[in-house]
Amino acid sequence: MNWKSARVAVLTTAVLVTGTLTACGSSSSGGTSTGPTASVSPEWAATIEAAKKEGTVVVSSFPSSSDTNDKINKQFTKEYGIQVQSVPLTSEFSARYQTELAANKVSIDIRSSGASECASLESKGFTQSFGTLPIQSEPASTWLSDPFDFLKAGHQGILMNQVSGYFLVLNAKQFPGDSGPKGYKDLADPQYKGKILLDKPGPVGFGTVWAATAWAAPGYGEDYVKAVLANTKAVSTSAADELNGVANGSYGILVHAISSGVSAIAAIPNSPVRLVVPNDGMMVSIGAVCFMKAAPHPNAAKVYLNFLDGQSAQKFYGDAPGGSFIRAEIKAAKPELAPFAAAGAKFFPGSPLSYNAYAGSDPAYFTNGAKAGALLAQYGLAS
Amino acid sequence: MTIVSPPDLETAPAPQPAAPRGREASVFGRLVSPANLLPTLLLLSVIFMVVYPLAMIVIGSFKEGVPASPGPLTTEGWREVFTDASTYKTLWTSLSIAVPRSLLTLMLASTFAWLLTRTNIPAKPVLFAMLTFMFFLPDLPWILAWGLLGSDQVGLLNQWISTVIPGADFINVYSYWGLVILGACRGSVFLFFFLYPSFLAMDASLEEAARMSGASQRRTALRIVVPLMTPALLGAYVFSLINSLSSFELERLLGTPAGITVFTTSIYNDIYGGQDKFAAASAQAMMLLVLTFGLLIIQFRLLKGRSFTTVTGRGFRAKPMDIGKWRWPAMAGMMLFFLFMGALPSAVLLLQSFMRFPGLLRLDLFTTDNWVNALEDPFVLRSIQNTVVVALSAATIGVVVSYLISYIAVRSKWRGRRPLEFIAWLPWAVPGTVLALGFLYAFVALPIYGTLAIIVLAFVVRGLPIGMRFTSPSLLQISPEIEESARIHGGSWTRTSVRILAPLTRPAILGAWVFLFVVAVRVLDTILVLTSPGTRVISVDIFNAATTGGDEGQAYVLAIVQAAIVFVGYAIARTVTGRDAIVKGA
Repeated sequence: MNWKSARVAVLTTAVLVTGTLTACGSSSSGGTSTGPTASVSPEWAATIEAAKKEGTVVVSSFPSSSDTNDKINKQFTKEYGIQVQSVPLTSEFSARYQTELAANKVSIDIRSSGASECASLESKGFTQSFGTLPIQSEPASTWLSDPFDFLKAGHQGILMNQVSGYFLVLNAKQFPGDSGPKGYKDLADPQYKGKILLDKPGPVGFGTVWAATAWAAPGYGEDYVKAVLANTKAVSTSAADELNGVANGSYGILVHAISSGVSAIAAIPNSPVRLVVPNDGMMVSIGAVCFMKAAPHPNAAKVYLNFLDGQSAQKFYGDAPGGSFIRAEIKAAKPELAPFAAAGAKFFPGSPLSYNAYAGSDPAYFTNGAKAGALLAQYGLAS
Repeated sequence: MTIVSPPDLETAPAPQPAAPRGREASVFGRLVSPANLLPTLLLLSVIFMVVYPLAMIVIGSFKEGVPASPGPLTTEGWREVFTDASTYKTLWTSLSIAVPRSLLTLMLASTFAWLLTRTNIPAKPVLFAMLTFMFFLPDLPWILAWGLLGSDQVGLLNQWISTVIPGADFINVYSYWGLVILGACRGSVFLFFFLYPSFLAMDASLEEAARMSGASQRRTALRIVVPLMTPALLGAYVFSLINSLSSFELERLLGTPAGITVFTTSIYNDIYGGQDKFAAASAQAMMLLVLTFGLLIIQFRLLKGRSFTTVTGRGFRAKPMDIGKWRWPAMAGMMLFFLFMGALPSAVLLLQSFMRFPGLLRLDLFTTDNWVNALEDPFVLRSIQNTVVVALSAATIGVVVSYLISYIAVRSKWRGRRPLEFIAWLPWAVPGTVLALGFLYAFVALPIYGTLAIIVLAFVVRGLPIGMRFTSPSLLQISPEIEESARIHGGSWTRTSVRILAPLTRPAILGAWVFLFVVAVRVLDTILVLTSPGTRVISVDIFNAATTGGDEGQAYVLAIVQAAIVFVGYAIARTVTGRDAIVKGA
């Protein structure tokens, strides 16, 4: 082969590689249509059929998809033949969505982040009613917390799908056995000075939940928050860095992490971290999804919403260590990591299982978080 | 690449006026005459692609609401920017990072270039290959790797160091100095390839004359090399400043978590930080443009008429300067630089893509799940496919457009050639974040938004100055007589271009193509706000996965894939053109 031929061969190879990639991309976007359509109302069957024709549902999630979400999405595709495209977005979602809405080019069907963002989107008129979903006919006893709480309060397009709790995360070497803090109250003890890594309190975030909830709780309040800040070694805004920091021993205690985010690493053999269910009660996080106005795949979105609170999807939450499910009949694979699901579960004071009660209509909740954030500089924790 | 500016081109020979022949016509008639049609279309195209988006930013700064919404006119955005103390803090932070970073960048880059071109440092091919590797290593993977290596307390480097020195916590890349040093190390490799040809082409006979006159090597370097290179070095410094002020990825991924805000991240925060402040973002974008355009003008003035003054063609075989006992330390220093800034982050990133959790490198955490999950996801595969399609399209279209503009600027006397050339150069000083904002305003209501075409178009615009930096000097170096001769012998313009000019300029064209391909694969800021779920590309996927948390594993996998695409593109081009062809154009 001469030089010219070699060059032609190289270029041909490049074109073929590109073509192959193209083919891979095209062939994998298909899917079979095997969704369950039996024993459903004609209207819902029609919705499912329309959803299958749409073929895709686009879900913008924050945090980005976890293993559990991936499994749920694959199960949805398996049952209905509808692809789920996950689009991880953080704070940019609102502006991006508004721009697309103004240009009449909305690309996202469902926003999955949390109840507070859904509330904000709903208040701006960016959500739409999903009508009546089949799961709404299930008895109230089905749920750990009513997923239609928001809907019943007159706010359209928001469905709750997860109830989750916060753990304290300890370094297993620094606190072997059951040593170390047992609950939130203990964190104020001077013996833990210089041990604590705190998720940064402010307008949003896990640290905000801690500060806001504790600030308002009887027996805790501002003095308690200050005492914990005095024991805090550092604050962080990166969940991944926080977990790494405790895992490698740079910090002894992480305050605090949502169960689904840390339970996987806690479950591995010889895990470097240990989770503690606070003995003064778990702070609660309720996950929610919202149905966006002008969603490009409205039927697929409705079917997906209904699926999320159904048994097969919720079972995946239960299978994940510390997974946060909302259906009462789901059995947690690791019950010790799902104490919020137990009968008579102890919740932190002021942290009941209702969205409206802890965040939806109480501006003080966010105000308290910001107050705690403003205190950071006093304790040398502002970055 | 020799540093060339539009004013240089004014001195270029312009042999063949492309004026209309034979008929008196109206302005419109002249514009659409066969000789003028192509230049006119090109001018209109660059106005549409460059001027229109920039103009929309100006309008956007006086409008309420998101792009495409019918918001009323307002000066609120400007008032907010000018009355908010954080604007001036941002300005100060931007400059306080850019100025020392650019200085350090220049020092590193010029040292590398000098060592590899003018001295007898050992293992030059190896050292050159190391820098080439780092040049083609995309930014995002590199930054992600440094996030793992250099976190305060928890970073792998601190962990490793603390095994020797308990409690040691020396490195924190999430800091001011982290941004300065990492930015300089990254930028120095890029700048090296800009300076390398200038150092290579410097007239070595002057150095030899100095040495023969009894000057020491140090004196020769200070009195001959430095003055000869001063215009190029100053131009390179200003160029580095523009790049630093335009930088987004490093500042967003390492600066924002540390509470450090610069103009580019502030613009992004205003748009996408949850406050939806598009008018304020546009006003800040205008301020940043004033800064970068001012620097661009300074760069042009510094380089005016100097581009080729050091190129005589006589000095290439000069004996390299003997740096004596410093040969080996210099080589070791460059290798250490590569080890820490190239090999280490690459290795960590690769290993991390096989770990169950970010930040932990343990055998019992080994998994292939990240790869399997990523490559089983049809949308990830689509993203990879989109990236390749966009890069191939943007590089090809970008080269063609750049070549045609260069040709008109260098070879014709068409009246609009200067505006055409000037507009095509504008994106040189437009930060990617600003360009993206302009594109969002300009095209969100048009059918092109939400398609891959807008991403391709953004990269074509971003690549115009880069492409022209290859094609303009290449065309300048070809005597017009060759072209004239072909025409005298009956060759049409097309035939002459294809049979004469294209082969002669082939190395520059291919070099430009590779650069534009690389840009299109790895650049994030230009398209971050332009992609949509149907038009995902790898760089945006990496960014989203890394910043939203919960799926870092996929980010590391995609980062490796992104780097692989770049290296495959480079390898193909290198096979076709040879190393020198790519470097020559740079």
